[in-house]
Amino acid sequence: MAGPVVLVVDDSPTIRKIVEITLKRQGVQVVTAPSGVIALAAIANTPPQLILLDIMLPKVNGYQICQIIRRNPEYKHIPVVMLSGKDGVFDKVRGKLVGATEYITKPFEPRDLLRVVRKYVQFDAEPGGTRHGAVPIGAGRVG
Amino acid sequence: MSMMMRRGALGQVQRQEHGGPDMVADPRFPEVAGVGALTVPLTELRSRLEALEGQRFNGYLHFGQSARVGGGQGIVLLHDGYPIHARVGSTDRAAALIQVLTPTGASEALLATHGLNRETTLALAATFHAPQSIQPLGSDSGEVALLLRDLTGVRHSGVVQVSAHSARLDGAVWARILMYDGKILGVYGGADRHLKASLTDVGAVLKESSPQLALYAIQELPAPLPLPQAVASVPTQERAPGATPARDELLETDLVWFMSRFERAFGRLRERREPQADLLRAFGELTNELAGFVAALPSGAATPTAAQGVVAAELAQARAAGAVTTDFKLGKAGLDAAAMGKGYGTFPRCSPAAAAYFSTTSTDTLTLIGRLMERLLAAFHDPTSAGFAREGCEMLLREVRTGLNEVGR
Repeated sequence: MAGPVVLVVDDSPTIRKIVEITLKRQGVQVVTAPSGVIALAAIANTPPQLILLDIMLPKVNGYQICQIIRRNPEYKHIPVVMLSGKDGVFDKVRGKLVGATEYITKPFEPRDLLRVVRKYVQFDAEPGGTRHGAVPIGAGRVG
Repeated sequence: MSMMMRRGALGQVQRQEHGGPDMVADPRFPEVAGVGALTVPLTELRSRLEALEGQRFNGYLHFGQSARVGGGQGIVLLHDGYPIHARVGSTDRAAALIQVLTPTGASEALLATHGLNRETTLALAATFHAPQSIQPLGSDSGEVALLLRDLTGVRHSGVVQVSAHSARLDGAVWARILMYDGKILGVYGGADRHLKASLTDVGAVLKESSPQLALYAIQELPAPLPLPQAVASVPTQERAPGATPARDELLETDLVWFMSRFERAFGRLRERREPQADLLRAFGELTNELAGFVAALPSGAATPTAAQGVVAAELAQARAAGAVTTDFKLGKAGLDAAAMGKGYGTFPRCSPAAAAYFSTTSTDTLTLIGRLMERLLAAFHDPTSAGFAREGCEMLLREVRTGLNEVGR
């Protein structure tokens, strides 16, 4: 049986790929879009159960896309999780204002992603294990 | 109707080219002055191809498996960084690329990288297909001149090959004229493969007995060949020490975390004005973080000193293989990331020297990162999980290499 559909909107092919890899292994059908405009077309084509939406997108940003989704009676019920490198309070408030359901901040781990997706989408498998003892050297210094 | 069509109707088409069998092993490609063959580990070929993709390289890789002269030669033609054709022995295209990237027992390959311009590369791409026509030629060079005029008129792109049998040499002689959009790009022959702006090589072939013409044409831009899924370098029956399904999950967690972190750092920094120094510092720090994961493989935890040891060993191996040329300084936790960033600042702003430093240092750091990723991927228990993780790693390296081309423009 086909699994639930999650739409991943991110201009980075790396993020699209690793989200796709993580979710597909749990039986989730992943649809990806590199831009907001393509995402809107994808939503109209196959309405997903959840949208993972990057903020920094070319031309139309994630906030604007979220606002468009929320104004559409057909799609406004779809949970939108902002998937972003922006972790400031202002960004989260702005996200809430346009109707974002939740935030995942990059960098993330598979279990972060699965935990959030599991809140909004029903699938069977349990999330993966915890990080082992390899504490990243210099974590938090980059960028 | 073009001259070539008229000639095709008049001349009797011959399907047996002079020196036909030779074509399998020898692509008859032009050589670039000063390019020599290097011995490289077979495991490096994929990262080399990826590095060339980042550089939007045009030209070809010519290699031979192991150091045996004449053994198992192959070719990969790259256009704007992407492989568009490959040939190993009698195998072509994607299957040949798989053969190139799949270790076959030999651990090393002889590799020569010939950089050409885009038009020359596309002209050569025509030779991976059967010639449009093969026909006999007279010994009069005026006939070739007329044909070239005709081909210029129809804006021909491809290769005009003239070949003959030389009784003196008791073998085939040939010369090729490369054309793109009706323009002659250069001429070379079997005796001297360097491109020249003269038809002398063609004239020499026409003096031999029964010269014939083969016309290769490129009709459209070839689609890039997909890089085949990498085969796990550790066979399934020989698991890496400590490999278990549980550790696979932890490795995957590390890699996903690392990839999303790298993507975020790169995405943020590249938007800055003159981000080169910051990017190099970040690349250094990220290399050390990845080395920390490699160092943690045996026991599950790692100290900065252990990570430094991993970086130092990997760097020594990469240098020995000729994969890295940058004179990296080591710090307490691995690469001296601060020194990498400061090094950029020692060059005059926006100078070619600064650009060259950035290009070499960033490329070499990505090579190190790729090698460290390989070590983590080789530590997986389940090859399918390793394959999924590899897809993400390869995507990240491709994205960053492509993104680096935009930096400083």
